[in-house]
Amino acid sequence: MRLKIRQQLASSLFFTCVGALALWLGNDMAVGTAADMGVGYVPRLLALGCIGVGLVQLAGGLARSWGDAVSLELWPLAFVVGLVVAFAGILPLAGLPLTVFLLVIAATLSGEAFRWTTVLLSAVLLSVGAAVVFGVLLRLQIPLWPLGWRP
Amino acid sequence: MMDLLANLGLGFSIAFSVKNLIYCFLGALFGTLIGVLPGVGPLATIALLLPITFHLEPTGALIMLAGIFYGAQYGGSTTAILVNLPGEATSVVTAMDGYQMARQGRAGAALAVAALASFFAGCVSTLVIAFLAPPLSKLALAFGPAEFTALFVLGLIAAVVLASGSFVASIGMVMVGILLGLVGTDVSTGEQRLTMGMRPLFDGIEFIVVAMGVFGIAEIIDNLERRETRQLPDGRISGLWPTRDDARMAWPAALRGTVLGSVLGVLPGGGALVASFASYGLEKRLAKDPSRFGKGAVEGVAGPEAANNAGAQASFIPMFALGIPPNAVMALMIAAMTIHGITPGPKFLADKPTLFWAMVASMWIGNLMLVVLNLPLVGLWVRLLRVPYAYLFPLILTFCCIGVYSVNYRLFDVILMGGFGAVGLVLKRIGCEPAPMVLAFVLGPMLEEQFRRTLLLSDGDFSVFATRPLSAGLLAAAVLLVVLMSFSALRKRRDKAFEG
Repeated sequence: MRLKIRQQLASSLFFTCVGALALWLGNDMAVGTAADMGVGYVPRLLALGCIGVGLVQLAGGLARSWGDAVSLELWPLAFVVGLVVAFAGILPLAGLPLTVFLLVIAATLSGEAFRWTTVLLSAVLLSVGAAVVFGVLLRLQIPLWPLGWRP
Repeated sequence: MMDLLANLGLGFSIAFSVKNLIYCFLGALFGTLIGVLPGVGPLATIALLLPITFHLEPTGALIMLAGIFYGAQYGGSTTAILVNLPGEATSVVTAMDGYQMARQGRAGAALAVAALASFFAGCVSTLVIAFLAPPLSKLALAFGPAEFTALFVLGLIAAVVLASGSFVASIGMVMVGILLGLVGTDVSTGEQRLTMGMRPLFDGIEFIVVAMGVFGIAEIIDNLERRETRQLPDGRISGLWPTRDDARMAWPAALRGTVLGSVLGVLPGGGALVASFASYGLEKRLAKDPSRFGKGAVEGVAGPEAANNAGAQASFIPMFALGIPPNAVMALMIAAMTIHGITPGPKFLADKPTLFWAMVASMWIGNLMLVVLNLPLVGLWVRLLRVPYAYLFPLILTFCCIGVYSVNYRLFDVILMGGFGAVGLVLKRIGCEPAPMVLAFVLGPMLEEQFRRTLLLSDGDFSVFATRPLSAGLLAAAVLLVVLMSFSALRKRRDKAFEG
């Protein structure tokens, strides 16, 4: 699936939305005065600034042009973000080496040309290497064994 | 002046012994080996390697620490150049043109230029420290909240000017960056801000989460998406060494970067970081053809690398005069030095001159070791790029995930990094350069704090920024940058109108 949008319109939308979101999230923060700023003073200023930038972009788009058309394929985005989320989800259950192994195997779905022997070899090397470097040598507190099992 | 030179000589005589040189070499070696792993930034590298130095006597430990520091920094630059993964804010600048050079088969040249420019800057700024430490530490003391605010504004404007996207969009990105930086607990009141009640956000968002996301993850998605049209660094090498043209263009840039770094580095709080961004902006402005920047301009690597290194060295002055570390890496170095009996503070320079000068000397030796170690290894690092993308991207992805997880051991950070990856890609597509956002993310909280303090002291009167000479000067420089910028934009538009 491919999303298409004009550049200027998209950035105008982005800044306006971020500004509006920040205003909404910060609406319960004390603003105060310049001499005695509340926690909300600077965030409010920036949120209004973002909306301002969004409006300037909008005005520029209306007056001149909406810029080039840009497009975004959704599958690679969902795929990579999915791999990252899967890493976070699987790590506490499966431990580091197994998680890395599964990640490398799952990465073959990217559509890049690959050979299974090389993938398997790199999956094994990477999972063992990561466990040795991060778990054993650098002693990071990353679970190494599945389901909290310890040798 | 003579006794300053004598002091430096004393420092070198302490630091120079076979045993110490070996410590230094080992430090640089480990620092580079860990630092070069994508996803492990200098901060993580130094933190991981600190325990090795604990068992040595102070001088040996100090010099090994210097080796680790330089190794980690350079390892960070290496991953920034080879796979576009800046592990810390200053490498963001290096990655912009360094990575483009790598894509054009000039990775070797970029790595060599980075090493040589930082070595050159290190040599000069060691002398700068020796000559200027006493007077400059007085200048640093003249900095009040108004001046800090002005300095940060200047740094952010420089970042906007150097961004390749539209001016308005870059200003917007800076504001978004500051907003992101403010997420979390407010320092002065302890109130939660913009956290949506999510507990992992209470401490704020980690820099590495944002940087890995918008640069590392976004780059992977981008490459997978543009499979047909992409140009990856493919280990195609047109010479491992910088060409004569490269050298001709890089030298003056490194020289200017060194000056900028030495000057800005003595300003407490983020001086080195602002220096590398400012140097990039300066080089882009001075270049005959600014459009080369962002597409593999060698000055864009040499200048900022020199500025960063000179700035890091020079920042020892305010660090010891005021006890304020300019960034997280330096804060860690201070912590390590404290373990070995070096306590920063106004009296340190006067009370323990030998240790101070031994430290200055060992920083220089660490820098030297780095060049000795890494120039021969350039070929090895470049060869890593020949691995086909199908096998390389899972590797980068894995290191990103582990690197981010290892900072706080929070799975939330890993997921957040994925989110920033998606947002970063969208932003790049719609013409909003993420680099100014990342700088603003780092400077934002400091900027807000100083801004609040300034207006608290002036009782809400904004005119202090204009009436204090130093802050007025810094703000004038920022305005000048904007004016120069809009002039060249206007000229470009007029040229286009004439052509059309």
